[in-house]
Amino acid sequence: MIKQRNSVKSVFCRALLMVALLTAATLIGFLFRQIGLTETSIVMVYLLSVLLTAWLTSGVVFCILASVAATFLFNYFFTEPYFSFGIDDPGYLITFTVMTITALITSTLTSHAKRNERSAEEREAETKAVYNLTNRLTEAKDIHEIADIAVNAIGDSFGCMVACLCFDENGAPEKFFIQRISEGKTIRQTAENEDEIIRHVKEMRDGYYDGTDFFDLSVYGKESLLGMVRISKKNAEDILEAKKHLLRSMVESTALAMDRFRAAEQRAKSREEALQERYRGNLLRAISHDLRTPLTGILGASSAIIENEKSLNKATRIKLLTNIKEDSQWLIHMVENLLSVTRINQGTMKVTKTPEAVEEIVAAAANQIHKRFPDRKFSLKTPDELLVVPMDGTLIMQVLINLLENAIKHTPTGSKVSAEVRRENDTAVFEVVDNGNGISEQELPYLFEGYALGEKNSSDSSRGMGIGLSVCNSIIKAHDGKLEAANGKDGGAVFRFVLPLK
Amino acid sequence: MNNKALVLVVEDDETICNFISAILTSNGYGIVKVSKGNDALSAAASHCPDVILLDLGLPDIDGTDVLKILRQWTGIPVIVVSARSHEREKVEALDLGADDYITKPFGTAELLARVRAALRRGQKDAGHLEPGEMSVGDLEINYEKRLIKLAGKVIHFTPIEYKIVVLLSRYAGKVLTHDFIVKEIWGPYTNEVQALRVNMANIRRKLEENPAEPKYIVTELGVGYKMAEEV
Repeated sequence: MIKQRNSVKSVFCRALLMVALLTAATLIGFLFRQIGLTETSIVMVYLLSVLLTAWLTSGVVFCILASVAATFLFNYFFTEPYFSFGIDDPGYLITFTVMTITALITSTLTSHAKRNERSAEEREAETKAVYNLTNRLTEAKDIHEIADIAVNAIGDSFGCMVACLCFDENGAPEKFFIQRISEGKTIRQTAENEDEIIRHVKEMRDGYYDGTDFFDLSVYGKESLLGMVRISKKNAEDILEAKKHLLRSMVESTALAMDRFRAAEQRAKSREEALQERYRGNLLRAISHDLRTPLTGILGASSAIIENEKSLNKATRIKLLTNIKEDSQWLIHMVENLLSVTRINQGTMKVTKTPEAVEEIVAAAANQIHKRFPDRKFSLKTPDELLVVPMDGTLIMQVLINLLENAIKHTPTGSKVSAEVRRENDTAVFEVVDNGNGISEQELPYLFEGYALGEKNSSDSSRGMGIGLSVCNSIIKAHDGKLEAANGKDGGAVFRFVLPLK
Repeated sequence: MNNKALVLVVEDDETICNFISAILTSNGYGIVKVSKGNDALSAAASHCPDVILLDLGLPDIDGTDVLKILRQWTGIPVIVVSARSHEREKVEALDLGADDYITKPFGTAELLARVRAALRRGQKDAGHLEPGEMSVGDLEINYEKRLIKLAGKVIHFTPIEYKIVVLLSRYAGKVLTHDFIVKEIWGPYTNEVQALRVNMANIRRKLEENPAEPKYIVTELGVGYKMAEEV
C-alpha cells in the first residue's frame, strides 16, 4: 500500500540501498586483497551483499540487477586484468556464471520469503480488523449503533472518510448518513434525494459503484437491502483498490450483524403482537360477557313494561324502569372505559402527555362520581403546593373514577372512601382507600387481569368491576407508572398508582 | 302560556330527540325540533328561540358551521351537544361562540341545569347592563371597588389573578376555553396555558375550602374553566 503510494521515492531509495551495499562489498573486497585473502572470499562477500539487497528491497528486479552488477563488479575489480572487463583465465567464466546463478536463486528466494512474510502480516492485520469489527458488532444495541461501529472500523483501517446510510424495514433509506469525521467520532448527515439513492443502490452491479469521488457498496442482508456504505476516495484510492477484499469482508460482517439484529427485532415484535392478540381476545371475551348481562336486563324489563302495560302496578313499573336506568349507566361506564383504551397508542402502547395540575384531575373525577352517587360522601386530599404531572388528563381521570367507583360499590353506604395525592421524590402517588372488607387473598393476584377473575366467580361479581381494573392497569402502564392493590392495615382496600414527574 | 321559554333542539337521532323533548316539555319549556343543519338555521330565524341545543354531528352540514352562521347575526345562547372524548371539537365550538357544552351521554338533571343557566345568561345579555357587582354563594365581587370578598372577608389577589376571576365571573355559567382566557389576560400571540394553570391553582387556594373539591371555579378537563352560577 504505502510502497505504491510513494512508489517513485521508494524505488529511488532502494536503488540507492543496492548501490551502497554493492559499493560496501567492493570496498571489503579491496581490503581482503590487501591482506592477501583469495578471490573466493570476495565472491562470498558479493553474494552476501546481493542477498542483503534482496532481503531489504524485496523486489525481483533488484535481485536480478544486483546479481548481474555484482558479477560485473567482481569481474572489473578483482579478476586479472584489473579495472577491465576482460579476463585472462577462461576458468573465470565458470566462476562468473555460477556466481550470477547463485546470486539470482538465493536473492529471489529471499525476496519471495520476505514478500510472503509481509503479506502474511497484512492478512493477519486484516483478519484482526474483521474479527475486532465482528466482536464489537455483537454488542450493538440498534441498527444505528451497528452502522456507527462499522464506519469507525472501516475508517480506522483505511484512514478515510466513511459514511453509512441505513435502510428501514420497508426498504426505504433513512433520512441521514452516519458519517465518521475523525477517529471515534461520528455525526449524522442529512441524506437528500431519497428516490435517487434507492435507484443508485439498486443499479449497482456486483454490489458496488466506483464513482469519481465516492466508492459505494451496498449492504445486503439475507432478504433485503440493509444499507449503503459510502467511502470518500480522497487520499484513499490506491488503498481501496489494494484492499478491496478486506472492505468486502467488513461490509459483509456489518450486513450479518444488521441482519441478525433485524431478525431479533422481528422476533420480539411478533412475540409482542401475539401478546397483544391474546390481550385483545381476553378483552373481547370480557366485553361481550359484560355487555350481555345488562342488555338482557334492559331488553327484559322494557318488554315487560310494554307487553304488560295494563297489569303492571306503578311500583313494579318504576322498579323495572330503575333497572333499565342502572343497566344503561353500567353500559355507558363500560363504553367510557373502552374509549379510554383507544386513546393509548396501539403501536407504542404509550399516551400523549401534557402537564396537568393534579388537583384539577382529582376534582374532575370527583365531580363525575358526585353526579353518579349523589348520596355517597368521600374525602379528597391534594398537596398544598401545586403539583403538575405530565399525563393524559382524561385517562388518569378515568382511572380515578374507576377506582373511586370500585371503592364505593364494594363498601356499604356510610363507609369511608378517600382519595389522596402526594408527592414522593420524583413521583406523584395517588391513593384510593376504603374501609370495607378489603380484597380476598385469592383475588389479589388476578385483580388486574380482567376476565380471569370473572371466569372463576359468578357472573355477578364480574359486573362489579368488569374490565375496569385491567383498563386502569393498561392506562397506568402506558404512563410508565405502576398500579398496585393491597389491603390496608386496619382492613379495607388500598389502590395506589404512581406516576413519574418527568 | 305564551311566555314559555322556547328551546330549539337540533338533533338527528330520533331517540335522543324524543327524550330531550319529553324532558323539556314536561318541565315547562316549549320546543321546536329539527334534524338538519339548514332547517336549524331557518328555524332559528323564524322562531327566535331562547336557547338552542345543537348536536355537532348532523347529516347535512357540520354543527360547527351552523354555529358560525348563527353567530353572524344572533347571540342566542347555544349549548353544544357532543360525544365524549372529542375535546378539540368542544373547544372549537366554544371558541366559535357556543355558551356551554353537554357531553353525551347526559342525565336529565344535567340537561335542565344547563338549559336554565343558558336562559339566565341570555336574559342578562338582553339587558345589556354591566352590573356593578355579582355574587355566587359566599363569593362577592364588586367591580367598581375592585374588591373580592369571601364570606365577608376581603381576599387579596395579584393583578393577574384578579383579572382572571373577574373574567370568569363576567361569564359565570359559561365555559371559557384555555385559549380564550389566555388571550383575554395576556393578549394574543402568547401561549401561557402553563401560567394560567399556576394562577388558577393560586386562585383556588384563596377561594376554595378544598382545592380538590372546588365550589366556585370548576375545571372542565381538557377544555377550560367555568365559574359556577349557583353553589
